[in-house]
This record gives sequence, C-alpha cells and structure tokens, in this order.
Amino acid sequence: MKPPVVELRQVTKTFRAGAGVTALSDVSLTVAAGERVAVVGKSGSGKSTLLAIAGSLERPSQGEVVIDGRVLRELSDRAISQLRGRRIGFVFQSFNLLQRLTALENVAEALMYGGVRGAARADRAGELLERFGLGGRTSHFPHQLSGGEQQRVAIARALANGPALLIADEPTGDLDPESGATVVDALLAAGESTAVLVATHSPEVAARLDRRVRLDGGLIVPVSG
Amino acid sequence: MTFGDVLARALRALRARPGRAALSALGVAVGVGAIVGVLGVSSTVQGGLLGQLNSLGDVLTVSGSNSSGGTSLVAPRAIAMVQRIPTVEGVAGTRTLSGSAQRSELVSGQSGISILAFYGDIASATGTHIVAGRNVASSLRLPEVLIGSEAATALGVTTRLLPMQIWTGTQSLTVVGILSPTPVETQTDLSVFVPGGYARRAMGFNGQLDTIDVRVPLAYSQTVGSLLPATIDPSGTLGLQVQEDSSVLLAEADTATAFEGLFLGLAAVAVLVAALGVMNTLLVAVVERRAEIGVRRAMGSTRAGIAFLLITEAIIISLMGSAVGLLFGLWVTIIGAVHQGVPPVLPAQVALLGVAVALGIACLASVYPALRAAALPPSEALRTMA
Repeated sequence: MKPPVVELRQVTKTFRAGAGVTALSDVSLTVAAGERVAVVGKSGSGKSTLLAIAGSLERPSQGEVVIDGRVLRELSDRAISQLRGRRIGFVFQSFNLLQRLTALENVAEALMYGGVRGAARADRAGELLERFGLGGRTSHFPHQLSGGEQQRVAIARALANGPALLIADEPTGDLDPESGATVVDALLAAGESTAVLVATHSPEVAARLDRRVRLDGGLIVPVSG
Repeated sequence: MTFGDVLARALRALRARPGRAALSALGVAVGVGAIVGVLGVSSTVQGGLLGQLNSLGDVLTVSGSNSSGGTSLVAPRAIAMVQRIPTVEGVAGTRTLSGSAQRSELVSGQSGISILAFYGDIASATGTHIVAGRNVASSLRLPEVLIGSEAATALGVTTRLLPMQIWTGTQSLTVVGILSPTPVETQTDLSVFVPGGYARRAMGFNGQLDTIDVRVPLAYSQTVGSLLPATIDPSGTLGLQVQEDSSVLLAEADTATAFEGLFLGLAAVAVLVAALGVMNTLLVAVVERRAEIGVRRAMGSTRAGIAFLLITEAIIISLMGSAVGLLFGLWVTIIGAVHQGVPPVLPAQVALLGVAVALGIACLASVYPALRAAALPPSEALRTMA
C-alpha cells in the first residue's frame, strides 16, 4: 500500500449561513499516492465541500485533515499556503484562469507561488503548455481560447509544481464530450505519484478512474453497481 | 514571491483600471498639493520678510516723553555718541516741525505729510536709499529736501520732475531726492526731510531733536537697543523708549502665517477625502477581484501576500498622487513668491511631509480593504466565479 496523500478523518462541515446546513457529516476518506478517485453524487451532495476540505481551501467544522503527512489544524496560514502552492493543484469547473494574464503567465503565476525564481518561470511554463498541446497558444488570453483549451491551461497550471494531489471539481462540467475527453486525458497525464481527486457527474469520466466514492446528503454511501 | 513580483502584480492591477487609479491618485494629489502649497506659500512669505530684515538690518527708533507729558528733546551730540556704538550702521536725528507739506502755496490745511528737520544721514539710518535724485547733507543751509516714498506719491513728486518745488505754508522747499519705501512703512515714508542747517536758519528749528533713528544688523538689534537710552540720556530723565522695526516685521511675518493653521486644517480634510477615495477604490477592487484573490490563494498565496498586494497598490497610487501634488504645491509656492516679489522657499521637510502624508494615506486607506481581502476564504472567493 502506497502512503496516503490525503486523509479525512471523521470530517463534518457545517455552514453557518441560514439554518446551519450540514454539507458533510462524519466523512472519512484516504487517498493514496498515485490513486485516481472519482467523487460522484447528486448536486448538493457535498462533493465540492469534500474537495475543498481535502485541498485545504476549507477547514472542517469537526474532524481531522492530513495532507502529505501534515495535520492541517497544526499549521499556520503561511505553512498551509506553502503546502497548497507546492503540493496541491486545483482545477475548477469554470477554469478560473486569471483573465488579464496570458496562458503562459497563468502557468508562470503558479510557478511563482511554488517558489520558482523569475527567469525560469516562463521556460517551465512554456514546456508545460507544450506538453498539453498548447504550444501555439502561450500568448493567448483566456477569452481567446476555447473551453477545452482553457481547462487544459488550468491543468497545466495545477500540475506546474509537480503536486502530490490534484483536485478537480467538475472539470468537464462546462465542456462538450469531445473537449471533456481531452481534459480527462490531460488529468490522467499527471505524474505517477500524483493522487487525483475528481468530482464529476459524468459516468464516462468516473469510469476512467481507479475508484469511485459516492456522496449522498453529506454522507459516503456504498457505490452501487 | 519577491518584492519585485508583488510590485509587478500591483502595477498590472492598476493598469487594468487606469482611470480609476488616476482619479484616486488625483485625490491624493489635491490633498498633498494643498498641504505643500500652504506651507510653501507661508514659508515663502516669511522667508521674504526675514530676508528683507537680514539684508536691510533693523531700524531702532528712540523717542520719549518727559514727566510732564511733553516730548523729550535730545541734543544733537547724541548722534555722535550713538555713532560710536560698535555695529551701528547709520544714525540720524529728527525733529518734527510745525505745518505740513503741500504741492502748492495756494493749498492750506493739513496734508498729513510731516516736515522734519534732520541731522545725520536719513537714508542710511532708516534702511532706505535714494531712489531718485541725490542725497542732502544735514549741514546744508539751502532749502533742498529729501522726501519719503509715500509723501512723494501724495504730492506728485516723480523722478522726471526733480528738482521740484513743494510748499509748507508760504515757505517753498526744493525736493532733490526721493527715498525708497521703508520695510515696515513707518512715518518716514510720509515725511519731508529738511537739512538741520537750513531749518535752523530759516524755519525756527532750535537744534533739539525728538527722535533718533539707528540702523543695526538684525543680530545686534537687541543689544544695541538696550544700550541706546543710556547712551543718549545718561541721567535717565527723558523716559526714552526704543521701538524696533523688526518687531513690526516679525509680527507681519506672523500675520502672514496666521491663517496657516486654518488652511492646513482644510488641507487635512482634503487629505482625508483622498484617503477615503483610495479606500473606496481598493474596496471595489476587492469585491471585483474576489475570484482572482481566491485563485491566488488556491495557488499558494498567503493571507499576508494578498494584503501586501493591495497595500502595494495603495502605496503606488498615493506616491503617484503625491508626486503630482508636490509639483502642484511647488507651482503654487512659485506663484505666491512671484506675487510677493520674493524668492520661493520650500523647505525640504515640506517635501518630505508630502511624501509622508501620501504614505499615511496609503496605510490609512489600505488597511481595511487589505484585511477584508485577506479574510476571504479561498473557496468562498472561488465560488463567485462559477
């Protein structure tokens, strides 16, 4: 068994807004290095919350989160930020590229937060985009790229610092099936030791991953079929 | 992430909304310009008056009244005694004669222009010089007189008309020289100076003086001023008093800066408004850039990094504004100096104050927006984009 990259131990997340919605309740999940996991379930079942907590973007209301062997509760903002920058990559449904930066600059920005010094950033970013078939698009701004291209830039950005964990929240949700397939290819092109956690509605996408975790009403339920 | 990285990102963010950044900077420019302008103009006026004092020296006027209330009279030898005090640059003694100067013998009544008999050198004792015509020796036994600047204007005596006849009663006098204005507009400006020699011969002057004018460098005016009464009147019976022109000038300098506090208060209000403008710009930027902030947090930016980015933007806006404000303040100061006919004075501290005010604005304005931006949870910030 490979060492775990992320461990959620009895995690509960309650949002205080309104009547105090429980988005996750008593969820435990371990993802090993290099493991590719699909998180499936209906809208509002807690998939995004699970991913946000597993990626350190949210803190759990109860329970423990361990990423890359480090207990998040014990880390300062600086340490968590560094962990996020160097060990975790994020891909979002709506791509979330910085609109005023070119494809190359978007990737270079992640390298900056990953601790790469000025001059090396552009070279590394160029190589990454080349790898994802975007060599001719480096100086394009997000609005000049198709949805599939934008998402591949986002994946290049997420993988820029060779993360231990890649988190993708509905990465194909805004894309047609063909572009979606190339995006999944790109996700699966992550390094061997990179764990991939993908929330998706798409059975096709889920089928291409190693394991499925089903959420229903904030609880992990057995996967049917 | 180096400081250069932060700076580049801050500049880029400002360039994305140039109009908004420029307007905020303009607000800062107005605030800083107001402060620098107010301080610049007041120090220019003050510097001009003090410069005038330093170059012309101080004029001490000695006069007094005796125990019965009459004007104390001093023998002319007092002039020679005062002359022997070190650092004294000019001495003259005068006696006000009855009557006043008129342009024609046909005019009667008071013109407000005094006729003074003098000994010594009037121009050098009163801090004036002969602007037109020539000087007159006090021993002269001819009716050739000097005239103060305002008296010359009042009687229509001009350079072109010299020598020119004026009258006191039926007695005619010939103006041969016009004095420059005194620094503090004393009675000298409104007087006609008749040489003691002639006044004794033809105008009933008995040689006794009622006023002694002494010019000394500004630095010595206190010392010399304290020596004068005893020098002129060793017995101390004449009740002599010393009036320093410098005290008038200094009071004038104070008057020139009396409204400084009020204007600075108004300038401070402008600065506060500028700070609110910058704060508003940043708050809008925080709301507008929630998604960007979330993405940066997801990419590994610390809370402090986000706050620092916004504070840097505020500092850039404020420094640009203060640069323009300094130029504006300098321009106002120069206008003020030209208007007053004195060299512009803008102390380095004032310029530094302008920069400090700008940095103060930046800090004041950016703390709250920066804290708000830093407090945004990254997931929350990202949600706004979806």
